[in-house]
Formats: sequence, structure tokens, C-alpha cells
Amino acid sequence: MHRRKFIGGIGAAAFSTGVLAAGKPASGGACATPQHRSPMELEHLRASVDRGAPNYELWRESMIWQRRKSPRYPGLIVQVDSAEDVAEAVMYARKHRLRVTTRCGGHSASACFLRDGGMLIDVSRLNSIEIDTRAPLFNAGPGAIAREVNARLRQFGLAFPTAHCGMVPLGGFLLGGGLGLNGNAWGLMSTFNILAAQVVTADGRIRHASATENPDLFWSLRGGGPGLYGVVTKLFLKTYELPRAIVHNTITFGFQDLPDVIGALAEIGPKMDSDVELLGYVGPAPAELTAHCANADCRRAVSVDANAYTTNVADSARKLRVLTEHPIMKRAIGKELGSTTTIEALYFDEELGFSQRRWVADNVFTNRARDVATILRDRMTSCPSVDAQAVFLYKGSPKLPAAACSTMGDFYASYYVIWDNPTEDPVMLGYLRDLYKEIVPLGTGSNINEMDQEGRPDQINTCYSPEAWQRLKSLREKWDPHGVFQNFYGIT
Amino acid sequence: MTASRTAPLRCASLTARRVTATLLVALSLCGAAAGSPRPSTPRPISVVKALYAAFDRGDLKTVVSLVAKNVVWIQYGPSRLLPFAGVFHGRSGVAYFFKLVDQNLKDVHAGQREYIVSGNRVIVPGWEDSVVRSTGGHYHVNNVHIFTVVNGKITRFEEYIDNADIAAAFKPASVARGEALFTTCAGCHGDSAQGRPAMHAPNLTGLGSAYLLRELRKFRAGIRGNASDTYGFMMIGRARALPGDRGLRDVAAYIASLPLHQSPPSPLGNPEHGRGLYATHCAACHGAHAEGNPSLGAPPLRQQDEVYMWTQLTHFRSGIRGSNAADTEGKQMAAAVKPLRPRELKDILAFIKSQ
Ligand SMILES: Cc1cc2nc3c(=O)[nH]c(=O)nc-3n(C[C@H](O)[C@H](O)[C@H](O)COP(=O)(O)OP(=O)(O)OC[C@H]3O[C@@H](n4cnc5c(N)ncnc54)[C@H](O)[C@@H]3O)c2cc1C
Ligand code: HEC
Ligand code: HEC
Repeated sequence: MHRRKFIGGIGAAAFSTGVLAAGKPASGGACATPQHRSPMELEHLRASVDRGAPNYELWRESMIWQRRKSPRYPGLIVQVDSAEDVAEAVMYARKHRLRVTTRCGGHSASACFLRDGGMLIDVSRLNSIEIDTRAPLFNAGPGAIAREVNARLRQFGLAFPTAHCGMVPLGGFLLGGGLGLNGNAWGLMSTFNILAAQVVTADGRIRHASATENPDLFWSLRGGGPGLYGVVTKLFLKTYELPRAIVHNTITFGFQDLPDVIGALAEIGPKMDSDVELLGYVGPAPAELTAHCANADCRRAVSVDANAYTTNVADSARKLRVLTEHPIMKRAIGKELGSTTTIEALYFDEELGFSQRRWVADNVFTNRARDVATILRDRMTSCPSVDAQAVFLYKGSPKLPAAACSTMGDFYASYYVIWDNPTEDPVMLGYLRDLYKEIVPLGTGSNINEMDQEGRPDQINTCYSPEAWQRLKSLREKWDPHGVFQNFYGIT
Repeated sequence: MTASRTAPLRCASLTARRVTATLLVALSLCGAAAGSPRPSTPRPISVVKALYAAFDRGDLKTVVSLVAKNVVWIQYGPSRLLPFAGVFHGRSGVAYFFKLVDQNLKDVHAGQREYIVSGNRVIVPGWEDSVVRSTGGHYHVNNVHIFTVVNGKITRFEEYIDNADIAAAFKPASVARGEALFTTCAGCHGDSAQGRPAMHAPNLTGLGSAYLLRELRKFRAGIRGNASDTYGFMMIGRARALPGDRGLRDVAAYIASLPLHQSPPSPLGNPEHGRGLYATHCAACHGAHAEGNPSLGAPPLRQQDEVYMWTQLTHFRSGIRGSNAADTEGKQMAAAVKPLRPRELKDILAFIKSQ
């Protein structure tokens, strides 16, 4: 989730296979081959492409945001324009016994929506945004994208805790929990900002779910996303006052200090105001640091980011004092304090460090962040890709409202490995999976949105409290007795 | 002198402390430091020639025995086109590479034009002539092999291959394929490519596939959208994520098939003031009514979002766009805006939007 400005090199340096044709673009040859559209009953949908269709593979690959295209093959991929289309697709699936999954922005690192056989419904085009400035609230299609949401809200002095990358749509992010911008002040997990939703259920009906209407469905969709027995077609969401300023602070440390830095954050976090987003980050070191460095791993550096979402810029210095006066600051090798930024600019920073390449991610919530950091200090050096990033986001084990989203810890500790070459997939995946064998026991569970579901399918239950997991199971039996919808990844 | 005398000493203490697995590496480093390969080690060029000979005999066992245990074997090329392209690690990786080649190609012939030796590197320009099993397609292309040989074993192999003829085998651009790929664009550019101002993503309709393709290729190659180009940078990853140059052609063909959308004007300037300026400074390339001129590579402007165009003009002025040495069209355009002041450019845009 959090990528940082200083690693700007990663994306830019990514290898280019592009060939710039000298002069002659091959445009003349465009030919409109008629699209193989199947089956007949779904013909009026925007697209319905079955496995036999000539461009099936392009459709399938286009469903997955990243460039590692997991080899699972839905029987039928449909793309819809409305809730009614979704209802129709679900009815069709019911009739033909196709098990349904939903794809929204396709950002799931595990492409958890991609299953063998069945029907994949792509709802990315449900992306309308309507703002009720009086309430103030807004409703949005699941496909509405972070940057657009906040660009639109900004006009009315409002904001929403989207994902940290501007390109992530609301759908999968919110339904899976969602560690959003200014999370500790804006709802703990972004999913708790869902006030209601429109859902197409297994019987093909378009229903409304809220605290008072279909409350158990509402309970499920706030966090149960990747195993939801329904398709969410609209979200009704809370807004927040746009902070007057976001004061951005970055303090850089040598890689070997990682455990001590994270240890310090564990002391600082509880004393920090909740509207300061506090996180430790490990990523490729900026060039000026690699030049004269005597660390365990000069290619990497640690930084502490503290973003104060504040109505008062002057006040942010006071808010940050618990950090700036902590003894760990003596070891800082770089400081950038008090620059102001915007949500828009934060999105761009993330974009720089995280362009569309091959990747795998995993995470734990943990109360033993320092121990996780120690493992990373010892194991990150041998990461087969230098483009690896780790995040320690301070959460402080808050008590969550009642919903499927139910796992927490003092820190959210996540890890991302990014690379380009397909033949290196096994090495990269193998590395991360080995590493997480050591890290998982230190956690209190995981966040399903960035979990390596493909690598640890048997541990998906740890993304939920045992009670929540049990309840999801029994509600599924109630709402989807015939199993129209696929269960969580790895459960058949 | 001192260095060459102390080097073996340091090496000795190193090797004594390390396990056998690292011995080879340490020894080879020492060899290099001391500047004298041990007499029994075959010369890099002989190793390379032995490899080609074994390859010609179809003797994979010998081929594999000539590479180091930790060899890195790189076949450059888009793996979508060359199924055997990639980075392969170790002897099993090399065996796997040859297996992939054999699975995909038949009647493989290769030749070497010369051997260029530079230290422990051997550089071999050559050619390859093969038939693709699945399609029966034939190609004859140039390539360059670069070997790094340490202690008589190949530790690194790189192959550069000229894909021109393989590219020629590409099928024509397909609107239907492009439609599938456009799923990855709609989030920013809009469901009908009409552009989304909040995403800073322009209206792509009416631009024509040649311009679209050219810009996509520039993004892909990093010629447009450097790290200081906040908006353009986003396109690099997207253009690279498309499946090969063919994917670019497909998606450009699809977008070009969509109905024209007129982005509404955002009144930035005075169209009447802009009229004469446009005629003097822009019309020669973009046409009298900003309809574009494909033969000059100048896109139509009148349909485009005004704020996007304003951003582009400021970027051309500051060099964020159009300053890359390889950006021929961008440089022309950058030169064209240089003499104009911001106020004048806004008036010109207002005129363009009145067309
Ligand atoms: C660049 C990047 C940055 C990220 N940053 C963050 C971050 O800051 N914080 C964070 O918490 N996560 C972050 N993530 C993870 C992200 O939240 C998840 O990948 C999430 O799944 C993305 O949403 P999506 O709509 O693309 O989901 P998809 O990958 O399309 O779908 C994932 C799953 O969600 C369910 N789903 C999606 N839409 C619906 C729907 N309408 N109805 C029913 N079920 C649905 C489906 O079960 C599906 O399998 C990031 C991911 C990326 C790639
Ligand atoms: C993350 C958002 C995003 C996505 C996804 C995206 N684009 Fe873009 N695109 C942009 C932005 C922003 C620009 C403007 C860049 C600039 O200001 O130079 C742009 C510019 C372009 C241009 C240049 C247009 C012109 O008039 O010069 C083309 C062509 C283009 N995009 C095609 C595509 C295609 C094809 C896809 C899908 C494969 C795609 N884009 C996906 C954001 C995006
Ligand atoms: C010498 C020919 C030439 C002249 C004169 C010229 N342009 Fe251009 N313009 C181009 C070319 C070529 C491009 C495409 C650049 C590229 O490929 O990146 C372009 C691109 C543009 C773009 C970006 C379009 C897009 O979709 O991204 C805008 C806006 C533009 N020109 C406006 C103008 C204006 C306004 C003037 C007059 C002040 C002008 N041009 C004068 C050749 C010219």
C-alpha cells in the first residue's frame, strides 16, 4: 500500500521492451474481426466471453491488474453496465449452474476472483459517483476509482479514506476491509464508512443492505468481500471534512536500524494523535544514500512517514513532537519535516514506486512488530528482487465495530515483492512464502486485501475472528443455499 | 605490485574460512585479482567455441557441462513472442531453456560471424534461422551472444535477438482484441474513452490509431512520461502492461473505432484573441480548424479537453513533454509553443474549442 516518493527510480528504471517504430505506425492494418460473443442469452450485455472465444485470453488477462496472470480460467467472463445486468447474469449463472465470482478493479494480488470454471462478473464499469453535499454523503459504484472519488469530493471540501494508490477502486478495497488514508481517524478500517449498499443476491434480486435493512448481509459485506455471497452494485458512503493541510514528514534511517526504528514506533504510536498516519517503510534507498553507505544492505533504507491530516498546520509540529523528540531521531540519516501535501500528491507518490509490474504481497497484523522487523532485517537482504518494500503501519489494536472485518493488531506489517520477468516467478513467490512461514506466527491474523491467498489458501480464515468466520459460513448457507457464489479462495 | 602480492594471501585466509560451496567463487575472484588465470583453465574463447560445437551436435549434456552451476542465462525478448525468452538460473535453468527452444522451434540453425574477446567476455554476433512449430512460420534474424566465462565455465549468457521478422509475422491489429485490452484503460479514460478530467486522462476519441499508437509506444519506451511528468508517468506502466507491440496496435485500433466525443470547453481564454494567433502559430500543423494533420503527425485538437491541452502546452514549454531526444514530434511541438506567452496560449485554446 504505501509506496514512497524517494523510490521514484523503481518504476522509471523498469526495463522497457517497447520498440518505437521508426516512422511507420502499423495503423493501416486495423481490422474489425467480429467479436465472438457467447452465449446468446447474454448477448445484450456489454461483453460475455466464454472460454472458446478467440480473445478469451486477452479478456482474462485484462481482468488482472498486475502482470503476473495467475493460470485460472473462468468458463465465462461478463462485463456489465448496471445492477440489472448483474441480476441477469446471476440468474443465468443460477440456471446453468455456473458458480459466480466478482471482479472490480482486479488489484487483488492473488487475483482471488479468478477461479477455474464458472462465471466471472466484471463490475468495473459501475463507476458512477453522486455526492449529496447537504448530508454530506455520497454513493458510488464499486468501480469508482480512488483519485476520482477524492477529486470530486474535494470540490465540496470533503474527503474519503480510499486506498493509498490513486488507481484502486472502491469495490474490492472497501469490501475486504481497507486500510485507507488517515485510517486511524477515518473509520479505523475504511469498510466502516459503508453506510449501506445495493447488493444482487443469489436469487437474482437487487436488495438494499444497511444496519436496519438486511443487517446480516450488511454485516457480511463490511469486510467479507472476497467471500461474499452477492455482488455489490452501489455503495453508500460517509465523508469526512477535507483536512486543511496534510503535513508530510519523512525521516530516513539505515537499513540495519530497522528493528530499533520499528521498536521506537511502537513506543511513539500510542502517544500520537489518531489523525497522524504513522508508518515505517523499507524500500530501495535513494541514490544519494547508496553513494556513501556502510550498512548491512546499502540498496535499502528505512523511513518513518508521519502524515498529519490537520486543520491547523502550526499544530502539526506539536502533534509530531512525540516522534521528533524520541531518541531514535539521533540515528536519522535524512529528514524532511513539515512539508505540506495533498491527497492528490500522495497518490502520485505511491504511483511512482508502484507501477504495474509482476508482484506478490503478504501481511500480518501484529503486536510483535519489532520481531517482524528483526526477521526482515535478516531476510530482506536475500530477497531475489531489489524492488521489495515493507510497511509497518501503526494501528494500535483499536476495537472494531461489529462486522465481518474483525482482525486487528498494533501494527499492520506488509511486504511486497515486485519484478518483471515471468521466469523469475517461482523464485520470487518461493522467497515470500518462505519468509511468511516465519512471520505468520508473530501475527494476530491477516488483512485479506493484501494477503497471499494463493500461497496460504488454508489460512484465509485468519483474516477473520473465529466468530466472524463462523458467522460468514452460516450466513452463506442462509443467503446462498445453492452455492451460486463461489466461497473464499481455496474453499470449494 | 603490492596488490598482486597481497591478493593471494587474503584469498587464502578467505578460502580457509569458507565452506566449499563458496570456494569456487572465492577462487575465481582471487584469480581475477591476481590478474593471472591458472594455466589449466581453458581460454574463454575455447569454452564458447566448444559450446557452439556441442550445440551443433545436439549434445545438450556437454552444453550444460560447460556452464557454471550458478549460471545466469538470459534470452532477451518479449516472452509473448519468444516463449523461450527470460532469465534462467543454474544448469537446470539452462536445460529448461533448451527444452523450451525445442518445444517451440524446429529446424533451428545458427551461425557465428565473429568472436570478439574482451577480458573474460566473448561477444558473438551471429544469426538464427528457425521454423516455429505451432505456426510453421519461418524467420531468419540477427542476434548477438555475450558470454562471461570464469574459470573455464560460462557464468553468464545473454542473447540479443532482432525481432523485426518475428514482428512482421504479427497479425493485423484487431479491434476485438483491443476491446478486451481496453478494460485496463477505462478506469482513467472513461468507458467510451471520452476522458476523465478528474483523472487527468484525456479524451482519446477522434485521435486516430496512428497517433494513439505512436504515443503508446513513446510511453512504453519511456520517451514520454518521465518521473517528473506526474500525469504521463501513470501511462508508462499501463503501456508496458499491454501484451507486446501487438497489444498496443490492437487497443489503438479499438479506441479509433469508438464514436467521437466532444469534450466540453472550459473557458480559459478569449477565442477571438486566439483566432489570429492560432492561424499564425498552429494551423500549419494542426489544420485550419484544429482538425489535425495525420501526414505531419499533428493530432486533432478541437475535440480534446481544454484543461488537458493546457497542461500539455505548459509541459511542452517546460520540457516535461517533448524534450526526450527520441521524441521527434514532441520536439517540433515544443519549439512551436516556445514563442507564446501563457495568456496567448489560453486564448488559442479557447479558439480551438470554438471550432
Ligand atoms: C497498487 C495497489 C495499492 C493498494 N493499496 C492499498 C491500500 O492502500 N490499502 C488497502 O487496504 N489495500 C490496498 N491494496 C489492496 C486492495 O485493497 C485490494 O487488492 C483490493 O482487492 C482491490 O480492489 P479491487 O476492486 O481491484 O478488487 P478485485 O481485485 O477486483 O477484487 C477482489 C475481490 O473483492 C471482491 N469484490 C470486488 N468487488 C466486488 C463487488 N462489487 N461485489 C462483491 N465482491 C466484490 C471479490 O470477491 C474479488 O475477489 C492495493 C492494491 C494495489 C494493487
Ligand atoms: C492510471 C490512469 C490511466 C490508465 C489506467 C490509462 N491511462 Fe492513458 N493516460 C492517462 C493520463 C493521466 C494521460 C495524460 C498524460 C499526460 O498528461 O501527458 C494519459 C494519456 C494517454 C494517451 C496520450 C493521449 C494524447 O492525446 O496524447 C494515450 C494514447 C493513452 N493514455 C492511452 C491509454 C490506453 C490505451 C490505456 C489502457 C491500456 C490507458 N491509456 C490507461 C491515464 C491513464
Ligand atoms: C511544427 C508542427 C506543429 C506546430 C506548429 C504546432 N504543433 Fe502542436 N503538435 C504537433 C505534433 C507533431 C504533436 C504531437 C506531439 C507528440 O507526438 O508527442 C503536437 C501535439 C500538440 C498537443 C498535444 C495533443 C495531445 O493530444 O496530447 C497540443 C495541445 C498542441 N499540439 C497544441 C498546439 C498549439 C496550441 C499550437 C500553436 C501554438 C501547436 N500545437 C503548434 C505539431 C505542431
